[in-house]
Amino acid sequence: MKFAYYKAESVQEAMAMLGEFGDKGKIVAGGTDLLVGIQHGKYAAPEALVDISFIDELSQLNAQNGDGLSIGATVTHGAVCKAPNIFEKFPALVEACSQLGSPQVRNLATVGGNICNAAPSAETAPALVVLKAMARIAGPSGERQIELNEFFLGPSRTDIKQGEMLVNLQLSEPAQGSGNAYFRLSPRNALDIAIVNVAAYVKLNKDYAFEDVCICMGAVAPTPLRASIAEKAMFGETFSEKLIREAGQLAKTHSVPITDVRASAEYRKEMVAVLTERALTKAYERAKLNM
Amino acid sequence: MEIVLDAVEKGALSVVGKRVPRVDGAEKATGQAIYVDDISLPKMLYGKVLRSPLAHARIKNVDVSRALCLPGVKVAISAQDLPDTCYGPFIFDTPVLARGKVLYVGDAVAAVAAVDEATALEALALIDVEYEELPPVFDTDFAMDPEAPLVHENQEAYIKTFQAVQKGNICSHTTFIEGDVEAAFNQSDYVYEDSFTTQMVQQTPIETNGTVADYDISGRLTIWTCTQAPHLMQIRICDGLHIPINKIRVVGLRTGGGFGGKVEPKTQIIAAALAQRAGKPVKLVLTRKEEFTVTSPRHSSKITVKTGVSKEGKILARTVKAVFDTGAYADDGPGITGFGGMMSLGPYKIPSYRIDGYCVYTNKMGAGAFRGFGNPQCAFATESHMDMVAERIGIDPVEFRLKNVLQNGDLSVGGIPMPSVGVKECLEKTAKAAGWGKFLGKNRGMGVACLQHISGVLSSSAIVRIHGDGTATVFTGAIDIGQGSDTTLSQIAAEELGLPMEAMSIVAADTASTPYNWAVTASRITRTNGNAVRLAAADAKRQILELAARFLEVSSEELEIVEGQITVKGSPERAMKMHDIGGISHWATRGPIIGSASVMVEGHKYDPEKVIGFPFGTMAGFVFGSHIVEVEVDEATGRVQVVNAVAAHDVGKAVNPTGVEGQIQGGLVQGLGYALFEEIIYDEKGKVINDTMLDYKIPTALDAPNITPLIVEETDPGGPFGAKGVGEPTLVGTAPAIANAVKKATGVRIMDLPLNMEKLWREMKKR
Ligand SMILES: Cc1cc2nc3c(=O)[nH]c(=O)nc-3n(C[C@H](O)[C@H](O)[C@H](O)COP(=O)(O)OP(=O)(O)OC[C@H]3O[C@@H](n4cnc5c(N)ncnc54)[C@H](O)[C@@H]3O)c2cc1C
Repeated sequence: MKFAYYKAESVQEAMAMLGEFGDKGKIVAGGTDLLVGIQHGKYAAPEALVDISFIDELSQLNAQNGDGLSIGATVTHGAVCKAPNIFEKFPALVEACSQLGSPQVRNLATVGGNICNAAPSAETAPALVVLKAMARIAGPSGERQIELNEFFLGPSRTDIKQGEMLVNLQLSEPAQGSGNAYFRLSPRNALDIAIVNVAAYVKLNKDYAFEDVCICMGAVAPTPLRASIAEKAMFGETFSEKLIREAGQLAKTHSVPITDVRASAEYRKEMVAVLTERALTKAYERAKLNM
Repeated sequence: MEIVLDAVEKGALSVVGKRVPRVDGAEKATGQAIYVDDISLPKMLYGKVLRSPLAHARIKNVDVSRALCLPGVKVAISAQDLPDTCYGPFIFDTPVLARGKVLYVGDAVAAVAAVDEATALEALALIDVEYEELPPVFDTDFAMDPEAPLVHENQEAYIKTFQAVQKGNICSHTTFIEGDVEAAFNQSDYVYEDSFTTQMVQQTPIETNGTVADYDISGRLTIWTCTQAPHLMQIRICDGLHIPINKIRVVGLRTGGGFGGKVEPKTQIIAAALAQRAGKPVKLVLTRKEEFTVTSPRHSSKITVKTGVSKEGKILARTVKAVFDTGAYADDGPGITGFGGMMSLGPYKIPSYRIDGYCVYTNKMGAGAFRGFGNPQCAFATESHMDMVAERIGIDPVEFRLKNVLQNGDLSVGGIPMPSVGVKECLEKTAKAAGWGKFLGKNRGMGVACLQHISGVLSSSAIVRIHGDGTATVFTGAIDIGQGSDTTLSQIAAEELGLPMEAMSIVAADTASTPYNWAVTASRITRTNGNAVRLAAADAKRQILELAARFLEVSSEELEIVEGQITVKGSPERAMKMHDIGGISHWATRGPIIGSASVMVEGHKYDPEKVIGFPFGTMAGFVFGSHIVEVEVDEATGRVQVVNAVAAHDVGKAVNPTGVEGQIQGGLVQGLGYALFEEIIYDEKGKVINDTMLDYKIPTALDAPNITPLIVEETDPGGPFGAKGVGEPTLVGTAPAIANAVKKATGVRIMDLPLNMEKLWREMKKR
């Protein structure tokens, strides 16, 4: 198979290239989904690849002092894991990034690529959703922003239109009294795809009641799925094992997994409950340390 | 009989037993080693194989003419273009390209060679095949039903290398009988029967199978390939294409993992047939998908074990019925079924037994050799069963095994005497090192399994040359596929010659220059090939000493070689350098020194009343081992983490302890994949649905537990410097040890491999 390869030096240049190639062009960042997919015939081979991984602006990872976290589209999972100070506030994100693939894959694979590839099991999606990431998207007529929760439309389908690209993910500073966590289940300890993954964010008020709860489940629906019924049920309540178990059960009922070669739908549903309980408990423990 | 050299006193060895670095280490670590896909010859073509989309169908017609019209396509062939013949290791049931019928999804129907891969793939789409679908057989229970469709309709007509007992879809039924089993069961205080199943698994070498073939104007065929058996490959090509062996050169390249999957031909004969017609070299390398769907995986099995024991915990009788699904072609199946049966008493003394192994055709890919050769399946069943029996009669599993272990001089199944049996020491060492019986905490459990295997079978030969400067080269047909034989065979020759490792080199696995070796299988190279190398070195040494004796004016018996010096025993000042002997023999007198030797493992006659339908001759070099693993189970998810593992293996003499430890670690981890997640899964149409590395899961480095490898050396009088093999047995104990540990941790007994998390979770829910 043959395709032309273009290295974009700036977002503007990338935009121009994408404009020129139209539906024959494709963005490549780390290439760990795209090139594997082309080889396996998952996508038709594009005529032109536009490599955005050399654009300085996109590889910036900034933990602004007290002002959240800005993740450029081509920041790799490895970079997130290695950066100081991120775990402290965004442990769910680091827990996700550190479980993707293997060290070699993490050093190539970008968080932007993980999101734009939009696999139902995408490692970072649940964590970024519960951390309420805003996606900044550049297009021919300027930039726009969208909440990540709205970004996923289906397997391999996102809100990004032809000619557009993701430039940045913005996380706001976690509130005082909040905590977050991420859990995934897979047979192997590395180089594996999640059978189920769950991230949770909780915020406690001064009476230790849940003031904000966000639970996102992966690999159990065509897109990462908010367990909104479970979230509502926890609102205003204080932590108890019973409450957490109920939340797990509600998340389980909410999930709509399929049976495939990796696991049955029934098992996936049960595991949603297990991982939801674990993520909520961990997030709660972290929130208590952050009052 | 086997020729046995004097055993060397322990401690008197200077190269054998040392942790010498691998002779192939640097080239592999730096990427300089040449693998088959690195080979590119002028005008080379690329081969591709058209494969059956159906599990069972009659081929009405194959037409390659449209493919031949595609520009860039040089050759397109089907069975019509090939000799009307079949090949195989035990039963000649395998055509080079499907003839008359296709027998599984993936069966090779036609092949093309074209100027590049893309054109070859395009050409495949232009081959027209007309099929008439036939009812398929996917399950051995159904296959053994007299009403079942026959996979091979005329198996009586096939050439066989042994007295096969066949019926319907059963291509080989092996029976071992000893004593009066029914009477022994009646005498037993307890009799228990349990049934187990094991899954189909793939060797998953990192390098897929591949070949570059070239057929020259003089009718000489050269095959560069990744293989475990260059000489065996010559024979298969000869059988498949009717090219005489003297015209076939097989060059075994560096091989990226074999594990049994590179013994029988995968690409070699088809590539040869294409090259023969193209008059140009042809490269044929399997894709990973092909590797998962058409190569020879480990047989799935259904095994029922029944054991009679006395109140005191002595085993009195056992019956085993093992049914192996060999898929579309027998391949090594008859050998595997027979050998698995032979191993299914475990390393225990059981006075009365009857073992029946059935090797059954179905419409799946042909199963074959995979590290352990039937033993992993049988050991999973019998060693799980051992724990179940121990629990029922209330004896500790280690104690129960110790009450029944084999000892030096006991007889194997089939009645072969076993002079060196280190199983007791293995078990005691592992139990001690693992802290058997200690408190482990919630959701943790420890499990044990013992095993036996063999390492001596069939024939090998070797040549040792002494050069003009006194250095030496070993010529061996054994290929180093990563197991380290280049290093250990060099050590064995160096030891015998009295030379340091630096004075040795080795040429391996090129049929044009190295002598015959059956195959790198059966854990046999250190012992069987090592004997040939040691004897060849001894032959060269005798010639060296005879020549030196003329100059030192003593008889050759009074001479010895120590670190490259030939000295008169007791008066070291009277000496000659090896360098001088090398020079003299090349330039002055006598002529160059060449030592050679041939060996065959033979001698035992099976009683035809007690051993029926067994495809092998004498086995020797019985090896033993014990594995203890500690697991932690996630109660909510059923996920098993193996945290610690201790494995002891009786290797007779560790020629290179580092190599032995590497085998123990690697085999144990491969066994962990077998136990926990590996499984080839078929859909209802007979198609493999997890044909990628993503969905066929082998363990990664992070899944490996802390491993403590322990070496036990129960000298084998028939092995070189007492050595026996270790390649396969290291895998055999892991799965039953894990299943036994999971039982301890959870109370749940899993009798069907793999013990994956969903399965364990389901069973735990039922508690
Ligand atoms: C061995 C291996 C193991 C893996 N393990 C995991 C795992 O455990 N968990 C997991 O979730 N994934 C895993 N993956 C998948 C993959 O590595 C990740 O999804 C990765 O984050 C993709 O990022 P990338 O930079 O390589 O994307 P690419 O392959 O470069 O791109 C992926 C897709 O996103 C598009 N794209 C990329 N960047 C942008 C952008 N800025 N704007 C618009 N579109 C864009 C591309 O056009 C393409 O369609 C694995 C892959 C491999 C090969």
